[in-house]
Amino acid sequence: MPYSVGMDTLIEPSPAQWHLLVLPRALRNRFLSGLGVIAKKKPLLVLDGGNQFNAYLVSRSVRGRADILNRIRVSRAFTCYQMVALLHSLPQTTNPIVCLDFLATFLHESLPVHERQRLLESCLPHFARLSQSAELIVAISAPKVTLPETNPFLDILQNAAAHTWRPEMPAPAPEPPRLF
Amino acid sequence: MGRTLPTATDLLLQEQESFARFRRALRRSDQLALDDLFVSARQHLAATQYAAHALPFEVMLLSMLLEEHKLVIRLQRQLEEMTRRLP
Amino acid sequence: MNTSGWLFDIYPNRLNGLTLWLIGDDGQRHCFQHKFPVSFYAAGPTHRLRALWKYLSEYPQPVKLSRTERRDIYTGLIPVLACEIPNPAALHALFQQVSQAFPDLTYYDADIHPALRYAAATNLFPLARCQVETLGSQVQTIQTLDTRWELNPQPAPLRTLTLEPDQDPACRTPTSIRFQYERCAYTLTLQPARALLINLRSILDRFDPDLLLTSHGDSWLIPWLAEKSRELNLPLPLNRDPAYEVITHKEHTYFSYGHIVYRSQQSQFFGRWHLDKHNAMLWSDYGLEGALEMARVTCLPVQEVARLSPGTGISAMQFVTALQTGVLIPWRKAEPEKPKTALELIRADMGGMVYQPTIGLHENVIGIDFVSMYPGIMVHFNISPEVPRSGAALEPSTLQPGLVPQTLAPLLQKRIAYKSALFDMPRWHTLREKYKARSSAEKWLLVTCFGYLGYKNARFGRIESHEAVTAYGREALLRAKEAAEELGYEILHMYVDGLWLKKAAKPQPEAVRRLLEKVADRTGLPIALDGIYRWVAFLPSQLNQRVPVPNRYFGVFQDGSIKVRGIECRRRDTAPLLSKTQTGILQILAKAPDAAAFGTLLPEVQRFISTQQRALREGRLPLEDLILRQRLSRELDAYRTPSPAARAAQQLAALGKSMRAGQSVRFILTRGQPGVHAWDLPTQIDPKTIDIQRYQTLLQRAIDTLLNTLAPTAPQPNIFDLPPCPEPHQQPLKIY
Repeated sequence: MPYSVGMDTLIEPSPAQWHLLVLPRALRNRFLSGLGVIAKKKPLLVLDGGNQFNAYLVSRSVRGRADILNRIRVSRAFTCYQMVALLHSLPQTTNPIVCLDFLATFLHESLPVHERQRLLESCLPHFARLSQSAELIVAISAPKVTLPETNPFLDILQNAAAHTWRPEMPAPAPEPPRLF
Repeated sequence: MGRTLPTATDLLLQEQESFARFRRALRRSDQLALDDLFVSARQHLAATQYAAHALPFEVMLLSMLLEEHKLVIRLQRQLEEMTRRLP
Repeated sequence: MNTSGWLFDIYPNRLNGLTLWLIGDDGQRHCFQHKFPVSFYAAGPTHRLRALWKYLSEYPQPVKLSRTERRDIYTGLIPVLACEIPNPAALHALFQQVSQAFPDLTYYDADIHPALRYAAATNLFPLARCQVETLGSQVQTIQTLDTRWELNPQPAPLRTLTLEPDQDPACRTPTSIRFQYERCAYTLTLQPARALLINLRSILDRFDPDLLLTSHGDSWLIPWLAEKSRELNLPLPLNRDPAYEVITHKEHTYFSYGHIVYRSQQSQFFGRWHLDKHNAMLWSDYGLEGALEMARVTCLPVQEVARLSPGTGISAMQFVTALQTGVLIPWRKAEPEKPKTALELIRADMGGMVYQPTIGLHENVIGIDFVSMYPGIMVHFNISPEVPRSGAALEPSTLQPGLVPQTLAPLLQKRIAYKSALFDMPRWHTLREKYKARSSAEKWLLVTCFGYLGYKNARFGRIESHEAVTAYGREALLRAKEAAEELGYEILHMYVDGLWLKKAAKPQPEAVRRLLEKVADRTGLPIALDGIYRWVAFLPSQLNQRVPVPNRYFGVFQDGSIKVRGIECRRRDTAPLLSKTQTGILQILAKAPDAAAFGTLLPEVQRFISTQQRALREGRLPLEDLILRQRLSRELDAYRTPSPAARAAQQLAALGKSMRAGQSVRFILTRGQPGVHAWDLPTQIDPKTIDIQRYQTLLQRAIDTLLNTLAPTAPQPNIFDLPPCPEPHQQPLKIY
């Protein structure tokens, strides 16, 4: 089941593997609309870690069809503990799973970084487990500024994912030549 | 735990913006009339929100139509009243 | 020995159990110790709990361990390992070690304030009347003679010493301090510091106050005294308990509900209270009496509750209920949201119903409000994280009340009891101010409990419950609307828990009573009359006169009192000049018995406006009237283009006064660059530099807000540019 992101990137998740998607802000809406298209064929589970699931966008992509919208289930996590508990409690399924803005709750600075790292690492076995039977895409927001020092949480996810996708906005079409 | 979805007010602004190219190509007086239609939709934001319709723009169009209809009825009545008073 | 009195202070002592202070009926202040073991619980896979057992058996201090079952609010009875220690003061360190060694386990009752544990076990709370039986200084039994819900408890004879520096330390260094105890007042100079300290020591010894009420005690005075005491080696008995040093918590900033919140440093005593008028939550709203009421109903110590937000108070109350009903308090909130479909999310993710108002001036308007709507819904419809919801049918629940309604119900009842007592109380009654203060404290708790239900870190918060409350709220408002419309009323405006209605005729008491009854009957919630307006004006947006704006209006009730929402004079950042002008205009207009009488008052309004404008133009206004006040939305170095507040803060920062995100800055607008002059600068502002023009613009806008609705400007030209109507049959009809 291909996932469309941006003009020229199509993700083909493979079985027993999960994929990491580093999503730039500009492509977020397009990704959400793409989820609607997926739900036309299969029920979809969305784990929203960053309060991102704009149901209206998804609705528009399926012209408001209730039967399709009822096939998308969303669960929102507002703390990293909730996200971990969510993954822990998910039963094995064959329906595709998409995590939105997965790292958002792990970046809250109210918890010490080693605790957040421990919690993030405890999610990885669940990704492995769930991707045995279901297509799993973990989407995270592309960092706004690429820092010289690497982002440790991003590294942890990248090392565990089968593949990391980094779609880019297509270059803008060249300006048509001016008459005057 | 904040709100996840845009509010009806946000959605109205988004819809209005999505018609920006259309608006630009209109004559100025038509632009004002179009803006006024969106103001009509603003009168019923609470009902639009409550409706929780999967396609909110349809409810906004209905709101605009509602206001237009109210205006027509008002004018109709005024006209009838004026005609009645003619010698 | 038997002692009766008021419970004054509780804190863990270093050896064993808790230290209690009592204000005795005998006039003495008693200090006792009470053995009080405390427990926390761990849950998880059996082999991990066994490893924890082994770990704790080898712990240097004795920990009593047992396997038992306790109730998790979501999952029901679960097997847990109970870990009990005799010394509450040692719990924090022990738990730190355990949670680091076994981070994978789930912990409960791990970080509960000892005062709350004590309250749950004994039903005691700050200033509770109690009876104690002691052997030496050890408490054998303690009994409460009082409840948290008592409307008019016997007041404790608190001895209060007030300390006021002669200057605000934020602006200028104070030179003297005024001490007051009952009718004695002394003013002592700060220098020489030695003499001040010696005098303060003898004042403390002589009067032995229970409460030190200061101005700027947290931000400056207490730390200054503590520092001087150390420098000069002159100990000050600020604490009654000699075993302790005064605790000073540093300042810090945190993020809450999308805003930056700033907490200044604070100093608290042991065996005595220190409250700083300038660092107490909502002090101007309800003062000491309200702070005592907060402590009473939340069971938190007075020094802490006065400095914390109402959210912490609600949380404390829930913890006490949980402890008393055997519900485990999770250390980390982890319960995720049950999945919703996309459509269900669209239906659930909404706030309170907000109806656009009918813009313009209206007469004979009835304002009705649901009484504490959201808390009322939580109690009447049993909204709690563990109670399953049946649907938005607005039917009372047949299930056992959940934790949240159990916690709120007595608080709601007490507030309603205060309100009805105040309604019947004559204005001169001695209890009136106390009741108002206590009722206000409770109002803040009730106002917070709904937001708290949806707060991500609230232990017993749950988004489904939060959404259920707003769903019931919208349903209630719509039913109220239907009931009113059936009785022939027109709905002018609705805002979450209030409605504005009108009918053609003047409202009669009997008709109003029938309306309220019908609404209460249809919704199952208490509803009250806010008032009958002689006239009320609903205001449009400042940007477009046709766009309605919720909760932005001004009006006059039948009794002549004014109600205003959403305009400049209601906002805290407005310069007093604008507030006073708007309030002045409204006070003149309030004299009109109906809208028709405005015409007669407009000349007076114009004269008032001219006076204000002239005073501004001629520079005759006191500088205080021109102060604008704004909060810093971020740290100073994070601004790309500094706001006026940020520029003013930079001026203060240049002089070494640090301004943090979340703090508010006062300033006056000046001509040219940088365009502001911070009010708290030591140099006086030169009146000639004030930007009179900007103030004139602001003033005009504030005036227009009011007058445009009352005396509308010339009708707008026909914007549709329609040509004259064509003769029928002569031209095809153009459709626009």
